[in-house]
Amino acid sequence: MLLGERIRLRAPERSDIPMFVRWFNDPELLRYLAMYLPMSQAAEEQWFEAQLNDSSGHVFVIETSEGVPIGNLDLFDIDSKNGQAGCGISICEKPYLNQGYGTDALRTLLNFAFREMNLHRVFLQVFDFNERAIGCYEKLGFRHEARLRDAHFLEGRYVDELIMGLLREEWEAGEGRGVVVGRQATTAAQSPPVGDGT
Amino acid sequence: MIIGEKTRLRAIERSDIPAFLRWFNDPEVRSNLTATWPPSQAGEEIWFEKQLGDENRHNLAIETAEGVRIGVLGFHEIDWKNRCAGCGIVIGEKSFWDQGYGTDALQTLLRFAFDELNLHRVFLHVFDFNERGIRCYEKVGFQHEGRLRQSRFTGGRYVDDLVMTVLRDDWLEQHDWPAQGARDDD
Repeated sequence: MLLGERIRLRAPERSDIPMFVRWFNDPELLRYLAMYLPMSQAAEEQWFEAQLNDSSGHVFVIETSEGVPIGNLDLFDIDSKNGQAGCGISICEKPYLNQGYGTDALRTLLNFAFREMNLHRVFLQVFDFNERAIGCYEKLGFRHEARLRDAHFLEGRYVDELIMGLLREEWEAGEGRGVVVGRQATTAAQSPPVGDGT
Repeated sequence: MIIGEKTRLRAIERSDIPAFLRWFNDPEVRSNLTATWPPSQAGEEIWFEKQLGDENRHNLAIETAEGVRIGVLGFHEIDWKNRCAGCGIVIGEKSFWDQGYGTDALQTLLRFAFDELNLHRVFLHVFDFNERGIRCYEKVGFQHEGRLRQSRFTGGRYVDDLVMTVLRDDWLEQHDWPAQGARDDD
């Protein structure tokens, strides 16, 4: 369990699968993710077993301090040689959006990535129309690194994907880790956890 | 076989493996690639079998018009839903460097991507110190989309990775198409 200020991150369990299936069939959530096919319980069970033995990624469930699961986040494409990983986050229970939970969760994950996993760089991918998420990532110190033009087709048109990156030295020097949550109340919404089923 | 001006692209064969091994063990060739471990014949054979029949990646050998094998190129992670693919190229025979073979081969690959595969976007990644590569990609029409800072560790330091892309519309504008086809129909 990783402890943040108002949230904690725990490993996912098989008993979470029905909740994941509910979350990742929600169209309002999916439009921010690089997922588009309806997800079945069976496919999610298969994904769960596969991720158990996959050391290139780690998935966490975000819970409030009271133990309410509200979303998940993950590190993917963990590349120890180059000291890199991608990350993605979804706050899936809508009443918990815009209250700083996502920022808190991501900050907790970044501390883990840089201070425990010894990573050098963490990056993420986000659709350019996902302004709420981009604001959160900027606040945590992620810098804009690339705009992949027309990289995804959804809702009848091509959209741009942004790549944002954060280096360990920036994290240690930056404001991001010290942002007071709650009053500023910006949250991570959703970024595409490209390439996995979370 | 896909025919360019100075090059042609053909399917790779098991008999190409020794050439790949020689190229990818050459430090000068390797320095621009993301490969870490020295490749073995056995490893290359496994790689060859895996890529056979994989609809999401295709590798082609580059030959000169005279049939000399000089390199390899291809698409990896073709994403058919988003009509997007990554590409990569290696001219393994160094005596053919700096003579426009790579440029011609890439142009031939892009024409195939847009005219036949119906792709919308083709991208590549290149180390920021690979000036020869970057110059060639710019000439072919790739545009800079971003710099992934310190995303690779090689030669004792972290280096930046550049993302470069060609979109179908830009390509068509540059290559006067479908005007040619329309003229044929008249």
